[in-house]
Amino acid sequence: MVSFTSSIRYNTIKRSSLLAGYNSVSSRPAIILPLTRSYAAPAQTNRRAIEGQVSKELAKKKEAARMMKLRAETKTYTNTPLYFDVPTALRFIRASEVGSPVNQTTINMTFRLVAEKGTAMLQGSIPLPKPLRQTKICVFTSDERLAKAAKEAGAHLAGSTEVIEAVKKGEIDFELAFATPDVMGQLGPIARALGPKGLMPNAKRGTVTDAATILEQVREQSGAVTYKQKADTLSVTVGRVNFTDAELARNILTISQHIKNQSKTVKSKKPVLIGKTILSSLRSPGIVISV
Amino acid sequence: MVLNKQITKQISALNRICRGPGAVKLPNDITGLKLQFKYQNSNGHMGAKKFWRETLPQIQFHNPAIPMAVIRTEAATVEENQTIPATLLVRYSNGEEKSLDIKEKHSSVILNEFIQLTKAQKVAEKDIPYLREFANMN
Repeated sequence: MVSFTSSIRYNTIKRSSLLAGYNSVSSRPAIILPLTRSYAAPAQTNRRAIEGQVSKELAKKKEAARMMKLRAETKTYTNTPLYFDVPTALRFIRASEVGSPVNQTTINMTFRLVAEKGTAMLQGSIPLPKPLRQTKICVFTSDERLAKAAKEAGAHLAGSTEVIEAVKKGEIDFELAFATPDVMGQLGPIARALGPKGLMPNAKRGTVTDAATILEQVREQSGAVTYKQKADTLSVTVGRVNFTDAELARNILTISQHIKNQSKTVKSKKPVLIGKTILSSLRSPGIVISV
Repeated sequence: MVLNKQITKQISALNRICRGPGAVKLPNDITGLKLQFKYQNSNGHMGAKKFWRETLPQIQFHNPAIPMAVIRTEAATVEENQTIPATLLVRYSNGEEKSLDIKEKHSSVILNEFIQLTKAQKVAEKDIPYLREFANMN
C-alpha cells in the first residue's frame, strides 16, 4: 500500500515537472489528478491515533490494576514466611554478622512506599534516641551564654572570633553551621571557604536565626539520621549490631512513627501507604517486620 | 502456594543460620568466645575459617547473650605463615580460660571438640524456628 502510493506520487511529480513548461501551451489537467489520490495517508494516521489512544487506555488500566494490587499488599505483607518479630529478626542479624568489624554492621530499615506516579518524594532527617554518630555542628555567635549552652546541647564548636580564625587557617572540622544575625558581618572573609562546602549560614535555609531556634536545631540535628526516598523505596539507618535490643527497638519505633507521620503530609489524590518493611544488615538476609 | 526463587533463597539463608550441627546451647558460666587465625588459609587455617563462616552463626543464634570475637592476623613473612597458631578460646565467669588448638582440623572436628570441651547441649528440634519453602498462605 505504501509503496503503491509513493510510486504514484513519484511518477506524478516527475511527469508534472517535465510538463511544467508545456502547461501554458497545452494544459493537461488530467495529469494533476493522481496527486489528490496520493493524499490517502490521513486515513492511516487516524487509525494510528486510535491505536495510540487504545494503548494509552490499556496502560492506564494496567497501572490502575498494579496500584490496586500494591495497595492491597500493604495490608497483607506480613503474610510471608520471612516475617518475624523484631527481637527474633535482630537475633538472625546478629548471628549473620558474627565476627565482623563493628563499623561494618549497620542495620537498615527499608520501607516500600505505595504512591501515585509523580507524587513528591519523602526526604528529611530523624533525631534518634540512640544515634550512630554525632553530627559535628558549629555555632557562630558572639553571645557567650549561647555558645556555652550550644556546646552543652551537642555542638562541636561554638564561639565567634576564635572559631572564625581557625576557619581562616583552613581548619573546617564540622558538617553543619548555624549563626546568630549579629556575627554575620564577621563571616564575610570566610564565606569563600564555607560557601562551596554548603556550610555558610543563610537566613533562607534557616541557619541564621535566634538563640532559642539554634539550640532546638542543635539538639535535633546532632543525633539525626538523614533519609531520601529513591523510586518507591526508602531506606533509613537504624543502628549497629553492638546496640542493645532496647536501644534498637526505640530507634525503630521513632523511625517508623516519623515516616508514618511524614507520609500523611504528602499532597496527593490518594494517601501514600507504607508497604513491606524489611530489617537487614550488610551480611544478613532481609527480614520482614511489621510497623 | 509455591514461592518465587528470591524468597526461597532467603528462606534457605535463614535456615542456614538457625539450623545445623552448630545449634547448641552453651552452659551459663561461659562468658565469651574468641577465635584467632590467619587471613591466609594455608598451613591448616581453612577449617577455622569454615568454622567461623558456617558454624559460628548457628552458635551465636542460640546463644545471643555471649559475645563472640573473631580476630584474624596477617602473616607478613613465610615463617609467620607457618608459625601463627589457630586457636579457639573459651572464657568462663570465674576468669578461667580454656583454649583449643584448631590448626590442621576440619570445621566439623573443631565443632565436636568444642562441644566436648564446653559440654554444650543440643537445642531441641521444637525450639528451632523452621522456615518452610511451601508456606500456607491464608
